[in-house]
Amino acid sequence: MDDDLEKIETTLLLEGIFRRYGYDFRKYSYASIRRRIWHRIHLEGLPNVSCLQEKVLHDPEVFKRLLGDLVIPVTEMYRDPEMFLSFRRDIVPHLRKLPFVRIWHAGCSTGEEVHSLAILLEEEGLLDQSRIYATDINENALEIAKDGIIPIDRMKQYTKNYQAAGGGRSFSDYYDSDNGGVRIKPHLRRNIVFARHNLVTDSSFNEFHVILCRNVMIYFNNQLRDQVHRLFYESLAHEGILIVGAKESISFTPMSDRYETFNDRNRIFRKMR
Amino acid sequence: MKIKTKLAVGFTLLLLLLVGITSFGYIRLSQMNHSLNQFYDNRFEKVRLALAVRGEINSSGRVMNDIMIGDQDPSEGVDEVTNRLTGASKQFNTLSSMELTGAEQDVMDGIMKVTEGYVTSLETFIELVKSGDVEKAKKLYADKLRGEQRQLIDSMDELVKTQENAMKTEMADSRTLYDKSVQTVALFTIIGLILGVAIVMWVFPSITQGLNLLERMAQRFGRGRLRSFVRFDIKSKDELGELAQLFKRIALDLQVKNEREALLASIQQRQGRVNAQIARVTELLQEGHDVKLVAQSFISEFAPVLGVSYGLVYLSDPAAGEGNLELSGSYAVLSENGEGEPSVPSFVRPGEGLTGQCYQDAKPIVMENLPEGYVKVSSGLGMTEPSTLIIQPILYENAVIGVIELASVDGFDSERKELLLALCDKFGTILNNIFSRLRVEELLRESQAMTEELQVQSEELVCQQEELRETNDKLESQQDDLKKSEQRLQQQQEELEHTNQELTVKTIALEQHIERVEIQNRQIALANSELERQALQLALTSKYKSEFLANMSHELRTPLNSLLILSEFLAENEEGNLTDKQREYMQTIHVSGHDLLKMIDEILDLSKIDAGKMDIHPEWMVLGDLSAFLDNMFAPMAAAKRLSLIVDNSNDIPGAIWTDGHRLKQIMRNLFSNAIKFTDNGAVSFAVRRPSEQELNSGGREEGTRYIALSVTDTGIGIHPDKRDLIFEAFRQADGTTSRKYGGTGLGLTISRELAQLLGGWIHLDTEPDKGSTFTLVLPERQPDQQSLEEEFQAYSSEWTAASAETMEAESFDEINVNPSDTIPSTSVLEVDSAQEGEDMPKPPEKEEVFDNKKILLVDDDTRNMFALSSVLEHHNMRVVYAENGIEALNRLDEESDIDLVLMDIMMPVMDGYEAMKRIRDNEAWNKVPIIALTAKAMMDDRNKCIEAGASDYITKPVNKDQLLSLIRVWLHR
Repeated sequence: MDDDLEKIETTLLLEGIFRRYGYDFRKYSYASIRRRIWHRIHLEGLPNVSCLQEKVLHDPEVFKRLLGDLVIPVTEMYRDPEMFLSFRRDIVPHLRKLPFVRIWHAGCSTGEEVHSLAILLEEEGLLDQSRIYATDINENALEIAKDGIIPIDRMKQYTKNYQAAGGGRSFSDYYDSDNGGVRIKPHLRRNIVFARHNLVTDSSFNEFHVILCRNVMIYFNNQLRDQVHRLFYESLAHEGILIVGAKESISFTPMSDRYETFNDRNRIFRKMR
Repeated sequence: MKIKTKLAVGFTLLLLLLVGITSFGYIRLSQMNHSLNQFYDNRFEKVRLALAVRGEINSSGRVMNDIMIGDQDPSEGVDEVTNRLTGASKQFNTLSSMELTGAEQDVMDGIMKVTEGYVTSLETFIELVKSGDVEKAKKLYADKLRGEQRQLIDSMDELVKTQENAMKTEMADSRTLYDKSVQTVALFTIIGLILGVAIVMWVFPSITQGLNLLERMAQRFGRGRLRSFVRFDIKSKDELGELAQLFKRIALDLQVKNEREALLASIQQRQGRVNAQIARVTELLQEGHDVKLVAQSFISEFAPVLGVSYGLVYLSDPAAGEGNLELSGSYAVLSENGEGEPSVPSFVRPGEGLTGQCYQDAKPIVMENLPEGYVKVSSGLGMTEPSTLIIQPILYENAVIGVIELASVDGFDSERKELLLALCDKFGTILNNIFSRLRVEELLRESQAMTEELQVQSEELVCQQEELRETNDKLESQQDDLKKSEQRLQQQQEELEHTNQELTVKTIALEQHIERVEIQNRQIALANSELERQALQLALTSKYKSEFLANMSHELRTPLNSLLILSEFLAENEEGNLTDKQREYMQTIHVSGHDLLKMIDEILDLSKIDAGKMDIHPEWMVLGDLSAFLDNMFAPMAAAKRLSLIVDNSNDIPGAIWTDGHRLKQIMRNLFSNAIKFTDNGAVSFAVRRPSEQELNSGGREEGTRYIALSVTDTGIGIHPDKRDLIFEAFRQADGTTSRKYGGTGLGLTISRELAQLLGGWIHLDTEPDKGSTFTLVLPERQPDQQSLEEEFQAYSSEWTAASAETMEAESFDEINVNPSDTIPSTSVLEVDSAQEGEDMPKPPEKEEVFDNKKILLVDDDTRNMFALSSVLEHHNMRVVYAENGIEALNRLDEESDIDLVLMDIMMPVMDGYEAMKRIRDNEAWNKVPIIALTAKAMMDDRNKCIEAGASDYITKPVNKDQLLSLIRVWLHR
């Protein structure tokens, strides 16, 4: 009974957020959304979801905090280095044949992976003929991404990742640091377009050769995930590459038979028809 | 009878006949031949001979007539008659010698008698003739001889006649024989002919009959009318009969075989049809995902094939356990009330009705002759009722997974039943496949969902961890602040205490002063103390000067170092845009810079000594090692100048001495390089021995101490006596002019002298111009235990200054240690700088906390790099520890436990960077120390090797200062 009630409250809260602020979490995976909401409820010291709803609807600051909880900005530079290694070895040769490469990184969060990709393309001499469209729903994250700021305490791990991803130079070639922070060198962002894009509500905006959407759809329910897969399918060029998170799969989505598996381990797929 | 026998008998008869005729003919012919021979050899010869004899006699008669007539000369005639009669008698003899019949013998005998008379008469006649009595002869002839002659001729004629008669008889006999022979042969021939015909008539029919039969058979065989062979009645027992019999059997066998094959073919055809249908099932349904769709397409597809006009498929989902059957497909089912709802139950429980029963029992149920109204089949045109109903279970591995119910108007023949069975079997397999596929898919879907949920949770966790960490950091920084204020408090307290102390000291000084004032009468003592104070002041001033010098040269090194590096880079002319001349200038700049650096180093040494900052680290120095070191180092230089290098160790010296080996080497190096520098030919020799009295007296000899002398002797230019002291002064050479021949800063000897003093010894010079010089370092032989006191002291003050031990009085030592900051001159200078800059800069980079007091181990064998890097690091308040190679680096790490980061060059002598990093990583204590590898223009391979060897990161040379600082910041970050 309590579960049902909580479900009603949650649905109402998400509906309210959508109507009030335009962020649509209604089709997100319930289990995760529920945990995030309760996390916020505890931090705000509230008794239940309805109380949070009251606060969120009336106080944009509370909403911002809740938004920060709902949008999980977990990312890494060269996250799953093997994927980047495979990208470098297997995908880059295909991209070389193109006169211009368009890449969509959907759900780029604070831009770590976009920067990783830019460095990779720069090393492969492809950055100048590429454009990376890095989109995310979270504007705060996008601001951080645009500045190329990376927390310094992550850099050791990132350096290891970079090396594991087949990085060919000294990783420090690509960043400057000052006290407490690291900043990816701005010239690497010369062909990155950062923009806000909502996978739930917005449609495609170009045709791409590569789409990366890693560990984004895991937060969606099946319906929304299928919808986003359709969006990606429509946005991919013929033989375009779709890369999803290491724990994700495109099986059981309506588009699964339209792709061939390019690299199963690293979840790289290629649009076939 | 067999044809073979018949032929044998017939041909044998004919052969016998032929043989008979032939032998008969042969006998007759031989007979006739014989009589012919007889005829010729006997009769004909006899006739001929008789005629010849008769002729001769006749001729003799004529001759005799002639003689008598006188036509012929009697003598000649007599000869002729004699000849003729001789011939006649010869032939007669021949005749008489021949075989003679009785009659002939008689004639012959008569002839013989006549002949005798004739011959006698003739002889008489001849006699008469010869005698010439012709008349008498005529008479004889006429009387006797003529008669006898005629008689003879007649006898002869008779003989011939006899012979001719005999011949006639024989001729007649022969003719008769011939005729008989002809008759006999003709008879035999006729008999033979008749026999032949008879044989043919006897053998032929059986052959032709047989052949005809065979031909007929062959014709039928050819036409394939094998069945009619049965009707052939074969009576004949001969070969052809047997053949026909065989033929018949073959044909009948063939017939049987053909029939079997036809049967087989029809079976195969049927099987083929079934298989084709099964293949279609597989093809049609294999890819299906939805069980109901599959069931529907199964029944739609195969109802017509099975000739069924009504059909249902019920399935039960095995995943649902022992569940109900669900209607999953139907064929031609009428709807109830025409509203689209099928008139059949959608669900059937096990055991419910025949369908349920079939499901329960897993056995097919067949109902034939269905009662009227059981079920209806209808179309727009009409309606009928099926006659037969089959309910067939669908099995997979003996488990029922569904039931098919079919009704047919015209019944099921065996082929249809068979097909139905096969189809159901296959259908069962396919359904099972689909069920298991669905199950697997479901599991996969669940596992995927769980994987993703796990990922979500892990990311949430990471996120929360991050938040927690931030909170923690905040707390920590607050704690830090607290600690800092505490420290500040403590510092203030210390300062207070310090002031207090100073006050106490001042009070004591005051008291002393008061005491001194009190003893006013001791004026001389007072003046003395005043003098002492002034001397101390002087020493202090000199010390300040040295300190300044030390600081200054240290600071000079940094810019000079970049000058060196840059000029070298330029001189390398990598971009190729400098002319040779410009490169030469660059090299000159570089070399000059290098000299300058060396000079500054020396000044630094000197000023360190002056300021009392030169550390002495005594150790056991093996003198043999020293000799070897010098030999190694200077042998090439000596060889280059064609000088001989002689090393000579005396016997009465100890193996090792307790002194600072590094400094000792420095002194010896200086002396040696001077010796080689100022010697153009001859030799440079090195000797370790006991010092001479003169040498001992030339320095501050201590009683009770043994000394050792290390001397360097050359055969060079020598030194003028009045320049002797000069050469030990700073910046001086014997030749002080600008045009002097020999280079150098002129600091070497000065430093050597000072160092010698630090080591408790001195340098003695023995020289003669143009002959050469001997520099002798005289050192005390000290023992470690002698210095135990000093070591305690060292432990206490943390910096053992040689000055305190040797050159300074105990009193002044206290003074020097009053201000601890004095010991770090570079820092103090920097602090002053930053303080000045601090006016308008909110936070100068040097103040960065990350770097504060971090200890960096710099491992590089290249002093220039060392200087360049260390100046950067020190400038940012990092403490730098040096090592020239991997081994040293390991030693440093061992000695200094609090090293925060290692900067590791790769190419080094003794032990390179890779090895050093590997060793560092092998040691658990240093596992976590970040190591940044310095690699020269590294290739990919180089970098990989670095990482493999244990480097945390790498930076390429030439090192960019900001990049290096960024890196260090990253790796020093907690």
